[in-house]
Amino acid sequence: MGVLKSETILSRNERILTNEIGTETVMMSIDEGRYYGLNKTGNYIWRILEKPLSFGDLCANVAAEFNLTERQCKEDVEPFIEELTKEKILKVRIQ
Amino acid sequence: MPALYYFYSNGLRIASEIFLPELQEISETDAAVTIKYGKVPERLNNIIAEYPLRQISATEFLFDIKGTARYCVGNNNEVIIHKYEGAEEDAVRIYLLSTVFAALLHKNDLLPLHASTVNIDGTAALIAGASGAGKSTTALGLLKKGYEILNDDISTIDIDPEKGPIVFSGYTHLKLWEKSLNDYNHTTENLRQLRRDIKKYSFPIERKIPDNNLPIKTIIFLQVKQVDQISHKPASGIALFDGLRKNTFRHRLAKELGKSETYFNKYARLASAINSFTVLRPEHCDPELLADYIEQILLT
Repeated sequence: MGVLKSETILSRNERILTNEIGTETVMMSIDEGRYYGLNKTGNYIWRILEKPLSFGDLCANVAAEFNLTERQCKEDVEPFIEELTKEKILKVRIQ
Repeated sequence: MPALYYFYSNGLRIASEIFLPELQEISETDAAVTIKYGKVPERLNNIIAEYPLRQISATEFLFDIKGTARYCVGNNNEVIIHKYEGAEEDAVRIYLLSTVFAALLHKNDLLPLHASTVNIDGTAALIAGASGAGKSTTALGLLKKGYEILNDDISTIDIDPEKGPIVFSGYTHLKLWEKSLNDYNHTTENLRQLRRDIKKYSFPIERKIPDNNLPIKTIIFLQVKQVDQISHKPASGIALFDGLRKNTFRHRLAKELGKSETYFNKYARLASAINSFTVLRPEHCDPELLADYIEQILLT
């Protein structure tokens, strides 16, 4: 926990395929062959990470979109980002 | 050259040296698939992946069941079979119609699901589930109610540019346990036993679908759970994808043959075009009750 700093750069793993079904996004990692489902918030995060973004900027965006305080948002988003990183769906680059 | 028999199954027209009573026989045709006896190497050239019993190269799939047969499926849709001495033709056909056929379908991007298909007013309802979930028994129940059964056990799906997801008819028999037949007051008399050591029988069904495929409206995932009564809920998103993948016939083989991406996109096309439900049923449940329950879902 807590390895993500505001300036940590997050980007998509290129070897992920996605399909949107209704409000859900389903992803497949080409290398692992595993499937993942993203809900509305997860979907939003995946969409704005089309271009690499710092963790701080990501949280600011999510906070604005879903009417949350940035602090609240960091607490909610961090475990999610850590999980996506662990599953190699996202890449992190520490500045 | 030996005489050829012609068959239609799962979207493929087949010319075969071996008679396949499980498939629908058709008149002589330009067949995409040929099945014949011949020389099959023990090892493929340029193997890219190797697993117990099977080898994969860029152009061929080889499947070796010692004592029965060694099969080779080429990218040209030619299946060559080397029968081991003393092997029974029934056994040769069982592997041909299961794993070898799965490889053939996967190579042609035709998605085979572990599912029975029922014709409901001109659209197809697929009942998918693991072995023992009750697919064939439910199919038999719906057959008794007057519905036409297109497929038992395996249903092959393609995405038609105009009609969307369609399902092809496959085999012309239901594979049923003796107990399931007895539940519907049938005896096993005059029915062909699938294998000597297994009490499963081949039950012929009549079909009358005009062009051998139907658009898919519904997929039901049938599961046995520790529950008291039958229930159902809609399946969507990741649950639907997982259901489709788990029920893809020989899904590990599809991955080995490099079809993960193709099928992921097919699942998405399917998911956006069909209704889908998970039906949970107790281990012991009246097959007629289950057939009634599923009929109700399919009619609403």
